[in-house]
Amino acid sequence: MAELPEPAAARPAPTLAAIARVFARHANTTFGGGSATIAVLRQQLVARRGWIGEADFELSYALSRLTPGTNLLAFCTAAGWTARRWRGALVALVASSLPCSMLAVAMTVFYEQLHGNALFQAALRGAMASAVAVMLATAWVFAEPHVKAAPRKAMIVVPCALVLSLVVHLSPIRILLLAAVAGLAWPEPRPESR
Amino acid sequence: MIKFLVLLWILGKSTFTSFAGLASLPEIREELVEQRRWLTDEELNQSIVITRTTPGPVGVYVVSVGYMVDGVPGAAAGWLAMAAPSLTVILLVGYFGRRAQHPRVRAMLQCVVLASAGLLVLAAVPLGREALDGPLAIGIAIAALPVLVSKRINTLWVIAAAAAVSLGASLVRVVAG
Repeated sequence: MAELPEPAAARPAPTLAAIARVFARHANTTFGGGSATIAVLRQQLVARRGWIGEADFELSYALSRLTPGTNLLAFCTAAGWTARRWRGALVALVASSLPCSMLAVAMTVFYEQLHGNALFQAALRGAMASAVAVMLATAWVFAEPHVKAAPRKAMIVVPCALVLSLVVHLSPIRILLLAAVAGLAWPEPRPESR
Repeated sequence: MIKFLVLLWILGKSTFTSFAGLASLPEIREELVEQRRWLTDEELNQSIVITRTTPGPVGVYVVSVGYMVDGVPGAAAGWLAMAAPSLTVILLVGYFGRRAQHPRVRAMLQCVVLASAGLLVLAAVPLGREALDGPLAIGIAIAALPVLVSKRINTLWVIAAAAAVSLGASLVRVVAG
């Protein structure tokens, strides 16, 4: 079994039913795509329930961005694996992907009716407007600890990512891989407590 | 059954070789619209609109695509193709989790998170162009931002309140008009 950044014994081990409940509820009810949903899951998994530590969250989030497929589902799988290994990973993956898939099928069947419903569209417009704020807030919440811990690195990495995307037109995965390589070549000093 | 397997192969090939929700779109379009003609461009666009109007990951559009091509078995193929690549993250977490305190691994994660934050701001721009289409929507976004950054209120409540405000404003317009 792999070592964890923080000892698993120090945290409450959730039941598989609890994992299913939390991922089904919070990974399938947030508008604005994966990042907005991950922000909601961070509140639930780290701050509220303590199922995974901050370091585990960072590890799961960063590696999910480097995983093929849908980043959100990779994050949920990694978080589930951290909490309860293989069973947790499978339960989290199914719980975070099946309800929204069934909803997508239902929406495909009833697309014409809902697309033409003025009240549904009005509520959706409000949800989408808040999703923009969710994405911006998420960017700050994720970056804040690193901006404070390594401001010089943040002032180089973030603008470089923006330039590589806007000017060089590199795909996100290539930018993230470059960031990973840059990080490997630019190590952090070991924590003093170790 | 053969159509299910072929569809699973096409969708799976696309999702296993892409690294974000809609990044698989060009390959899926090439295979299903251009080559096999199992789907039209209009249906493909419709599946993306549906994804925008449902909660959860953007990548769920492959489930809608699968359903359009082959009904419920097609949707099952889409779900498998969407979910299966995520299992590869376990190998990464297992490998890097053992080395999470190594200075180089910590720096790597730090740089990936920082670059992700920058890309997230960029990703908000096209969504903003589409979603912030009037004073009310802009007001909702501006009001929501500090509340979300403060982390005092659950994100779900903020989104629900935004939807309720927009719905309320629409009803007021209907009654007044």
